[in-house]
Amino acid sequence: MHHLALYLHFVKLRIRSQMAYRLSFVFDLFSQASISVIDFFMIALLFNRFKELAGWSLWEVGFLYGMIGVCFAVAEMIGRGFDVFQNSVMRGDFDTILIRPLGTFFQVFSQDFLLRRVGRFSQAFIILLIANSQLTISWSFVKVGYLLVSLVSGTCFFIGLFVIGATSCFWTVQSIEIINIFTHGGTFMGGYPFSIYRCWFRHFFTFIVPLACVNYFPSLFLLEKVASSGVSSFGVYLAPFAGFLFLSITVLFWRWGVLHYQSTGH
Amino acid sequence: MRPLYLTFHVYLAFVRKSFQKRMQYRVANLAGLATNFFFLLVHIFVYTAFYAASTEPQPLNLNEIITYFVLCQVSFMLMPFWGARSEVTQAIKDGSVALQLTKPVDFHTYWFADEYGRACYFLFMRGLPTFLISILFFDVTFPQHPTVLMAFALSMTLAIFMSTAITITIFSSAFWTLDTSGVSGMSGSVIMLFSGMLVPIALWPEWLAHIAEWLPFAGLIDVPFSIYLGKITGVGVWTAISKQMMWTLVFIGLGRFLLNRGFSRIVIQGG
Amino acid sequence: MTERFFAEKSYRQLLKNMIEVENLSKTFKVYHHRKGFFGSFVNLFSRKHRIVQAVDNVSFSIKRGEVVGYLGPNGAGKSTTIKMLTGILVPTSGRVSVNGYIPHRQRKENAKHIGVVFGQRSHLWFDLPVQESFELLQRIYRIPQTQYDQNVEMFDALLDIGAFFQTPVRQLSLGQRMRADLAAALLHNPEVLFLDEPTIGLDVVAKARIRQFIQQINAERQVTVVLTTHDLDDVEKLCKRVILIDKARLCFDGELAALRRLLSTERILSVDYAETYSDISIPKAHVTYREGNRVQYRFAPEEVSTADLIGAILQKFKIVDISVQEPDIEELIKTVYEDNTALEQKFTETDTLDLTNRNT
Repeated sequence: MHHLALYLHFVKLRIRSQMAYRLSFVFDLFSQASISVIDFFMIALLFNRFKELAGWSLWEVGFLYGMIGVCFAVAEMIGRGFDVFQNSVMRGDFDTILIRPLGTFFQVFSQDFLLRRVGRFSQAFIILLIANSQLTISWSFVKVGYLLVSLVSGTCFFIGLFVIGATSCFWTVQSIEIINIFTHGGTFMGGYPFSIYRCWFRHFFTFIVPLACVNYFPSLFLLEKVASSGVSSFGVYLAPFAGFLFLSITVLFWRWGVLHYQSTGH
Repeated sequence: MRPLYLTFHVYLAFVRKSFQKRMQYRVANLAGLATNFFFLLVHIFVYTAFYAASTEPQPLNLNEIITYFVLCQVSFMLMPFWGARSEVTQAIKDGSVALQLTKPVDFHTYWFADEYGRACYFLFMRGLPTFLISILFFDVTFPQHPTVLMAFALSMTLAIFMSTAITITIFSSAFWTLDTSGVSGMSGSVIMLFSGMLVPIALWPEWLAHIAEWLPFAGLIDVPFSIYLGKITGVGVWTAISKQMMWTLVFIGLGRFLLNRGFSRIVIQGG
Repeated sequence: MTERFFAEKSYRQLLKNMIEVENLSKTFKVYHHRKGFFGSFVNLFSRKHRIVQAVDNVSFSIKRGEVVGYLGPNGAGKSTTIKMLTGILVPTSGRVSVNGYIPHRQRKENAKHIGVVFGQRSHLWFDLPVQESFELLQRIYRIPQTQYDQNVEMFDALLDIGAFFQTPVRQLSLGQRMRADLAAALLHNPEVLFLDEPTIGLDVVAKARIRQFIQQINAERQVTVVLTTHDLDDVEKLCKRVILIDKARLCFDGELAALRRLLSTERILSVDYAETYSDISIPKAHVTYREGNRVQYRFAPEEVSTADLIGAILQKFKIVDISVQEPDIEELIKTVYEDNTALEQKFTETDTLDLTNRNT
């Protein structure tokens, strides 16, 4: 309870300081949203010409796109502390974190909260809503629960990626950019059905970096495409838990990394 | 005023310095290279799947599409939205740019040289390796005739000039607003769309392609690559290149105008 | 629950030594970066490194309520030691205990009982006003409201933090920031205070204020203080005891006065004579300076005691004034750093100082 209250207090302070520059905040919000609107607009353009993609219609792809967009936007919003951890280590701020009587993971997590990602979030969420209205999905309690768990788990997956990037900073701050392939690149590739990718590529993004579990497998289930996809239905039920597992493993990695922290300028 | 050819070497030195400055971030560059390839790979998967499902003839065949996106990744870092990280933008934000007025160099040309050096760095250290490795893995097509290659080289050079001129125009906004991320984000998304970086303009519906034709941004990506692919030929090449030239001059003029306004603002405020 | 708490607390208070350090070592891996485009590619997969010994087999203990100066030149391993005591770094080998806790294993427990101030960098939130930073700390350390109010009131009286309580930390002057940092580090009534260069970059007035505050906190609350500094005025004003570290090794641990005695092989005797004498020589003392009736002699305390020397002068001459000067401590420490071997020889000759665990 103490931690939750503390976290909310941190978030409150962060939001207030970001709102201090209101004009630039609003501007940023719109530019965020406009970038992602254009992203999806381009997908729509391609469907206008080609009609379908590996058996998926525009709004089915829109559903995929919306799901991963929501997860990534929320992860960027709340997992910002890990995303910018590189700067924090270089400034020596991690020393300060270590002298406080709180867990390091909790402190880095609560360090930042990027409110302006609301722009990206709402754009992805609106596309998800439109896709839903265009697709006539037969919703049930199981499906709604499944969707919610998938979204939370997908957010955990992206936070896990940020944690890996942050942990690598304990050894070298220069290699962190490689994680962009999985975060920004992952969001991009996750916007398309996995069946278009080559076998090795698919396997890598299912079993090693479980990106497919964020939106592809859940969408197969929710859009009732499991049978036609050739994916085992057992796997589809397990998929929404991959993100939680992934995050748990990265937390262990983080703990191990903290022990190797060398600080700066001894 | 000294003749241009005498001062030219000074600005060339700025270009060189800007290039060398970036040489120290090689590991980051390798990560960037890997990112380029990842995006390229996904693009190729997506278009292969689209083309597989379509029987109608398309304005660009699959090999041409692949070549187009290889070239896109080659020039990705040359696009105007990266200027936010430049030292000049920082100097404008913190006001230390006023010191530049004391130096006997033209500020716009100095900034131009700095950005141009950055573009050259990314062309050679990021773009060229991307291209060479792509040849090994993907079906990249080559121009059929040496004159096409020459026209492409000319158009590409103009594209880099134009990109540099646009960068300065966008980021001179730092004189008026402390936070350039909004301005650069907005303009960035417009540029990304209308340059043809996301989807080749040839694949667009006609009404949208028409808008793109009246905007300058196709000159950054779509025009040079269409020349490379032989989609623009004959007189069309010269029309396209003179359009690029015209827009470059427009942006240089606009950039100079904005910088003058910006500096006079600083002087009046006594900053 | 409460009983256990009090039992725990009294156990901690029974510990004679607040800080115990035994054979502590820390090594760092420093990576060698290959040059060139190809080299940076190779760097991704294999990296050469060399081992740097930052702290080498250091042992000492500090009693509850002591104020100890932890001194050494740049890169000697001062900060690394402090970082191991505060739980920031994990030691390579050796044993550390602070208040009965092992800092790197019981980091959070240890953190509740220590206060840390880094002179180079604030530990407060950059964009928050001081008051909000303090209130955040109150939540983090779960400081009871009465204790918080009392402390803020006291720190305001001593450090005048009220003058900038509403100002964001980033807008504070260096002196104000240091005052805010010090107060913040003491809000939760820590039993040990680690100060890493607390007066760096401050003016004379600000330095004096901070020293006075540290003295007062130490006297009133029995807070143990470990202080690293370049400013030897800090040491002279605050510390009875100093620990000297050089090239990762401990080279002196004892009273400041003892260090002075040990290092001052020669002293200076200044005499103002009442008349002008032609022959002013005194056995076992050399004249180093003469101007009018003022004369300075240099002598070694081992050869002749100060009393005998003064006696000899008084027998022969009439004087107006006489004084004995000791060399400046800054000079002393400089000689230690420059000439470590001289000190080592001294250690073998004298047994008066406790020389702990030289590298054997």
